[in-house]
Amino acid sequence: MKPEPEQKRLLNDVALEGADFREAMLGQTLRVVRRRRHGRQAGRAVVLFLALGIASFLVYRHTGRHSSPTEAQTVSRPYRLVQTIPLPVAALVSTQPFTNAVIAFSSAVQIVQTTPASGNFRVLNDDELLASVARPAVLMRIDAHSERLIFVNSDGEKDLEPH
Amino acid sequence: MTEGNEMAYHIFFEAYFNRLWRYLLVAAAGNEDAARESLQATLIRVARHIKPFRDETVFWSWLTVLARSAYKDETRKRRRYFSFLDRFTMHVTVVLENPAVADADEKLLAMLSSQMALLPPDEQKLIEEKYFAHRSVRELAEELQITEKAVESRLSRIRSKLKAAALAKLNDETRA
Repeated sequence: MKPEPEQKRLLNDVALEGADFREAMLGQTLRVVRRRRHGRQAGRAVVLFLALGIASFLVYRHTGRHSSPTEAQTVSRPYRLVQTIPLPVAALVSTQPFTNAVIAFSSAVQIVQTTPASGNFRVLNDDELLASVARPAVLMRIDAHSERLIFVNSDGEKDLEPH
Repeated sequence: MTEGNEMAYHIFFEAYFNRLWRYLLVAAAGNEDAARESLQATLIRVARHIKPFRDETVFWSWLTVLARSAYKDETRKRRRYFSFLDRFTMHVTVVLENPAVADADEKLLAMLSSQMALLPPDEQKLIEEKYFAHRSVRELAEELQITEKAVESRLSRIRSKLKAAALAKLNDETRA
């Protein structure tokens, strides 16, 4: 049975008689509402701030990668940059000019003539030749078909001479 | 309300405060203190958990669920308090929950009607004139040849008497 409006009005007035806490309860409820609203707003601000932070970090990383100097050099320069570090002084080898800059060849060099027909020889290449002598020597190319073996120390030449 | 609009809460209070209060008076078996505490807790729960509802009936059902759970929590709190007191006084207080508050208004109205019948004739007449014959306080004051304030005061006294009797009856019914 639904109460009549008159009955409802009486019921309402009787129930609320002496109950003057409506405004206090409204105030208390509104305080909770405000606190929740502020909490939500702060939450949104934090989320927005985090999103902006992440976005700016990503943008920075993206643009930073393109403007990186080492990468730009790698892409645009046609050479490879090699960085060197100076050697310690103890590792340096210094050279001095010869005191006797001119090495005199003796005319008594014996030239051994070989012919392909004899068959008693083996052709040595440059490395084998240099390896066969125990003294410091250089192989000097004279022209397209001839080279000369020069000993830094003239004693070497003696070793090479047939005994 | 879900967005925290304060005006929406004013409208909500206008529409549901009295109804919730009456509901909780019945749920609390006429215990005004428990009903008041439960009502405050209910309103705070509304502010915390408000969500959209498809119609008013569903919304009211949700409100009653909140009110009942707030009342249960309040009762639990009070029981703890009373059991603490009992340890000192050795006095057993029986607090029973009202199981049926399906239509609180109907129940209250029935009690109100029965209590109205017990009022003295002049008080009955005053209430009937005010609420059922729709006569203003000024008209009643002129008829009774007293001030409007005196009429208001009399009405207030009668309402208090009716309320106290109805709540006492609610309480007795729950204990029985």
